[in-house]
Amino acid sequence: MGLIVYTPSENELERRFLTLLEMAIPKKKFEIYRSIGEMSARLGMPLSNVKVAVLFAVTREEITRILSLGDLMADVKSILILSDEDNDTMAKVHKLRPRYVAWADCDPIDIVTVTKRMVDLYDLPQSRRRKLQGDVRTLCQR
Amino acid sequence: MAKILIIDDDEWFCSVLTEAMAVDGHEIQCAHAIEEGLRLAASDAFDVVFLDVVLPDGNGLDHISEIRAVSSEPEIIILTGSGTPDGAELAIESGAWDYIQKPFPISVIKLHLMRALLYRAERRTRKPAKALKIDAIIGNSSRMKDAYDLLSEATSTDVNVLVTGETGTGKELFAKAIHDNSPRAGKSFVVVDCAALQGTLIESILFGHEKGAFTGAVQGRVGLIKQADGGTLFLDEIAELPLSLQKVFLRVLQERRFRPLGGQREVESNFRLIAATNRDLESMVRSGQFREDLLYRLRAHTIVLPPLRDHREDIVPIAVHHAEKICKRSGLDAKTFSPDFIEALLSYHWPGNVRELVNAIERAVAAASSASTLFRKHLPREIRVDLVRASTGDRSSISTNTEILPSGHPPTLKELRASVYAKAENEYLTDLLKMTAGNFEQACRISDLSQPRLYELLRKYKISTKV
Repeated sequence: MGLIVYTPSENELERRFLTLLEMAIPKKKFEIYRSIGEMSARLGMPLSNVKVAVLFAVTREEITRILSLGDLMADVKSILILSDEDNDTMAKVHKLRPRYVAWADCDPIDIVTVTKRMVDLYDLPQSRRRKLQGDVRTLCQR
Repeated sequence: MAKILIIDDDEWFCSVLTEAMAVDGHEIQCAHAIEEGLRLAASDAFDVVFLDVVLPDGNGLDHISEIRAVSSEPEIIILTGSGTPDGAELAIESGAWDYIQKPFPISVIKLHLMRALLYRAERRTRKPAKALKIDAIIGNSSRMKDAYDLLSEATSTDVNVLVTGETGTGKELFAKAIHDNSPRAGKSFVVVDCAALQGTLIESILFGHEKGAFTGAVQGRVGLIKQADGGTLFLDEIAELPLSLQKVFLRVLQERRFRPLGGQREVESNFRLIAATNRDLESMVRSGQFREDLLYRLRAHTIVLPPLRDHREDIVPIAVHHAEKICKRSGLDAKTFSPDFIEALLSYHWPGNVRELVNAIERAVAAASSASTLFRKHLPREIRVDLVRASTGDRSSISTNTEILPSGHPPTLKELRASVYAKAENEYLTDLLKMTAGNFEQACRISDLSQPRLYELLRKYKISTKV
């Protein structure tokens, strides 16, 4: 299970996102967390194997909570959904080195599209990823 | 004057080179095999090592890292009679100073020696590199030290940096370390994942957009290029950037200004660019997939990260570091490594590099659960299978060689080596003479041996020169 979703508030955007995500990634091959405590415990497991995280951080407090996870997030490629884009918020957000930042007023299809792509890119077993990269390169060279 | 070591099995060549360089006051020692050369290199502070490629007990190119790792960190000049572009590339990538193809006049070798010594003198007087904050990067091998030197150079300038290396070698960590150690450290390090962001999305994310610029743009947004103002813009997987966008981005790089989507006015951004890729951008340029002018702009300073198999001495320190980190994170007692676990780590070829190693350690810690020691059996199944297959291959190759062993008590390893080597050398020379129909000039060219050395070996093995 390489994908986790952190949705503390369960608002309309989050509900729509989860519905679309279930269609894009069937059989619920992802885990949903509603609190930082639960997510922290999951990331702290010996074999966390979390590669991609979609984090709804629609308040500044949520951003601070996510930043408090520190090293637990170091090897996780994250997608952040924010509501603010003032300079202070953005400076904090970039400490997480997010791979994609979306906004609370955006189309959830964009978030799902990027999430699916990142799962394909980063959650494949090493051997399959290498084979895929090799295949792609071979095709490109033709 | 300099201390020089020549590692070459051609004794005649060694004596000629020794004589020529001794005239200039240099102190010279010679070794005629890798093992002897490594021993000598470790026993004295040599400035330069001349290293042959084809040696009786191995390929010189495979031992560049070991020689560079000795305390005097000598410059290495490769000498070969059977040079290939791939061999030359491998030599330079492994840290050799130069690669010279035999035959060559003595004046040429003296010129290369002088240049290497000048470089070495300049390197010694150079100010020591500032202490780098590189907590997340582990490794003390010569290959990693070379990468740290390049990282250090990158922190003291503001030029664009291109970080390349196989997947899992730590390109993003290096990019972040450059930012953290640069004057821009107080500002943002902004990541753009060119592989994950596709189509029109990447354009609006990079450049930002005005309200109403396209369907769904209900509000204006600041792009990542502007967010990196004063800081660093990190373009990961830059090879995936669409060609159309490469052209636009080239202009941004040249002028540090751009127009957001739907915007009337240009916006400025003073960012430093670091790009990373695991792909060969030069070949992509040749096939028309990547813009040549953009590549020139990107590689003002290039850092090539070595694959883990090329700095094996870092495997155990990396594994120990991450095992401690994972145990601490998970509230587990620290684990020790059994000898068979270490042996397995060192034997595996790690195609997924450091990322695969860290993942394997994580899985081993999980498999060991409360056990205090990690054993080979705790490693992921696919790694153990790979190791078993490789060892089966090795065993079969040894068994074919056992026919040359004397019956009765087994020989020492040294005796075995000498015996195998003598048999192979004898067969090689016999075949060589047959193949060249006794043509000595041709035999010398193929074998990369001098005529005196070839005669000496034929005498040693009592091989007739009449074919």
